[in-house]
Amino acid sequence: MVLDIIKSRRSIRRFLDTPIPPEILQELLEAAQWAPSGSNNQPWAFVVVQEPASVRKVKMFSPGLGGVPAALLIVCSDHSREDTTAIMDVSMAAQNVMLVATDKGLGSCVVRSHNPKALQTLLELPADVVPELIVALGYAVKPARNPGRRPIEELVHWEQYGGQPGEQ
Amino acid sequence: MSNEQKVSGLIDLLCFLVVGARELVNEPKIYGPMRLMEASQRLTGLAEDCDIRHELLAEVSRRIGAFPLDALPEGEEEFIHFMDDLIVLLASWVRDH
Ligand SMILES: Cc1cc2nc3c(=O)[nH]c(=O)nc-3n(C[C@H](O)[C@H](O)[C@H](O)COP(=O)(O)O)c2cc1C
Repeated sequence: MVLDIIKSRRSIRRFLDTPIPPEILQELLEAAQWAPSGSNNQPWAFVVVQEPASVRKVKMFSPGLGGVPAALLIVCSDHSREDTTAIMDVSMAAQNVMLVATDKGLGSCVVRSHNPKALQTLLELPADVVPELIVALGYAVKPARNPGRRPIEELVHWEQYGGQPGEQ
Repeated sequence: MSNEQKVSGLIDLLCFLVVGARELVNEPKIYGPMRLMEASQRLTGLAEDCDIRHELLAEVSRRIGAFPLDALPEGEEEFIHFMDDLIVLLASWVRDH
């Protein structure tokens, strides 16, 4: 069930050096491709980084990147396209990728703590293509602790803010 | 370890510190101590790689390595105690030398 996959996805920060099979990587990229975007503008670009030396270089400029992932998917907004919803669009793509990764037994972690200018320089990105998130991918060393979530009653309001279920 | 490898280790740490400093401008406050603890751990690792061996450095490295930095910020109180204990360890050493 999709809900089981959503709930079992955990942020993984320690990876084995087992490579990701190309056919799985292809499915992850399709998951990104098929994410929704405002007006179907698709204002994104995805850069796959797998060469160990390149992964290391990206890691040097990404203080929030834990472990040494087998692959990085650099999720970028593309400002040469209509981009009013770009941040939301790329976030949806990143989540799609992580859910398919979970389904395939891969660990992942979405990373915001990186320096976009450094990554633009390293990856020779055009000025319009801005790295927003890194999705770290690889097989987990061990399952991650579940950090839990706030109770659903605290988040969800029925009909109006503060409304309880079944209230008129 | 070759000189080139030592320089590469230093540049690695330097990038982590400089980018960390820049990104912390927009990041949650608790990330600051996390980044500095990770940098401290890397520093002790680098010292070892450069054949600078010392029981205090080894102990600091062991303690930081054993602390689940990943689990933050849920364990914030525990993290603060952990840093306090580390400071006492360092201060005691400084007092006695
Ligand atoms: C926008 C965003 C940015 C994040 N950036 C980082 C990051 O830089 N480094 C990191 O280790 N985790 C990062 N995370 C992962 C969160 O810490 C993680 O999702 C959260 O603690 C919940 O844990 P879980 O993903 O295992 O459920 C980020 C998550 C989101 C949604």
